[in-house]
Amino acid sequence: MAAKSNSFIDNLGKIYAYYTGGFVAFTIILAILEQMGVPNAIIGYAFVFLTVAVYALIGVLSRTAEVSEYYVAGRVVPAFYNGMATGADWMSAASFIGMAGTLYVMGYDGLAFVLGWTGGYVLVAILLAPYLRKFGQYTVPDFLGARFGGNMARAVGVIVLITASFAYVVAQIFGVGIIASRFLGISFEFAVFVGLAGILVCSMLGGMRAVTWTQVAQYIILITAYLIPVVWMSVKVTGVPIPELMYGQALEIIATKEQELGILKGHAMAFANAKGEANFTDAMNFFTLILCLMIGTASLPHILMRYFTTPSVKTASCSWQNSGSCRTPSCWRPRKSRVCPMWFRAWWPPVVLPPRSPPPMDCCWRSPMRSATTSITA
Amino acid sequence: MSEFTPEKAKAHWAKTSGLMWLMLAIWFFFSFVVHMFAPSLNAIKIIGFPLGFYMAAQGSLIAFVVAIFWYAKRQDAIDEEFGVAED
Repeated sequence: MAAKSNSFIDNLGKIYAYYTGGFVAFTIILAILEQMGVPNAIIGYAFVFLTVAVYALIGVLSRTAEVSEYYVAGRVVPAFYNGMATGADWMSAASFIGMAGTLYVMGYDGLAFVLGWTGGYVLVAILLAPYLRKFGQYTVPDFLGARFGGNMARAVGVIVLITASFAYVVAQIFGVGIIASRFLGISFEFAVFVGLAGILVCSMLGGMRAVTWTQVAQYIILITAYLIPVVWMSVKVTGVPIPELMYGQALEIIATKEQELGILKGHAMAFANAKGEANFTDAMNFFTLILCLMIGTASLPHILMRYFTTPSVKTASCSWQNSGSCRTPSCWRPRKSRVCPMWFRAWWPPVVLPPRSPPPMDCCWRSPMRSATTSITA
Repeated sequence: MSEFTPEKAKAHWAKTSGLMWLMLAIWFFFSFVVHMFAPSLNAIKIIGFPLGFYMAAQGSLIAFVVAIFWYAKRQDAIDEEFGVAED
């Protein structure tokens, strides 16, 4: 089993290169079929079924009964791939379906969403990910319980996580329902369950392992699906395929059109009310929305879970250091140990948890930072 | 590898937390401070982009990504200094 999963990790690049090639070929075949006059409904079905089939296949192939595989993908996810999976989290159903429309309708005010989500990852990178990764357990409440002691901290963690993820999941499930009903031509109420069944097949058997590898696969599709339309439009409107630089021209055109039509609230205007005047209330709404989205992003369990899936301190350090306290239970299971290991206390000002004597000397101390932070930026 | 004594842990944490506060300051600046001036920045136009709009749409995001890369590098340097780096 271990050998098999190692060869999988070693060949990740190749596997996903084949996958990308297959995706491109499939898209081309669909394009050809469309040109040949195959009706859109059938192409829609083909697209949905094949992609879901691919994710389901990954889910089934990733099936596992091992705890560490199920919860943290065996902690073997390389930073780069973890970054791709995190990117797929960013580009989730809500942002993929909703973002373009939100920005179109709200103009400048809609940018709060982009800022909030992205800024939230900064908070994750500096405040949470390094410490979670270093901790090397399975869940965030585990971490809180170990770090701050007792079930109170755990319970608070559970409540926060459920609250944050409930609001988030509602939006995502709604998105799933919309997509499934649009592509399959069934009613929304029914489509929600079809979508959920698909998700279940993809994630139930393989847990975090399946989710991670399907998300890497989704990342490739999502990034393509984001880029192709905007590059295409950029070429059509300005003749240059770099939309990031060229849509300033589109903004200028919008501004002149707005003047011609007498629209007072411009698209690029900040904190403007209907009369086009900047005002305090709109500014406050903008900034508080950013703050909420940032803190919300930083408390999403499925994002925080990602930082348990990179090779952890425990495996990274203990595998090559066979001597000393590394083998002791206090190092392996900080949750159950009465004496908090040194490396664990070192994360926070020592005053918070005064050292009890004698502190077990540590061979496990490793930097929490590397994979966790680089994977965010990957 | 030298021992990671409590004193060293304290010094390491001092540096790590210093970096953390600096990063939080950068985060705060690009999340909030810049955008407070958005209405005035919008008067400046660069290749068609009103600057205030550009900062919210792309500028801050680029700053976030660059800052995270820089942060990871700085943290690695700190870890190296205290002999607790990985690999």
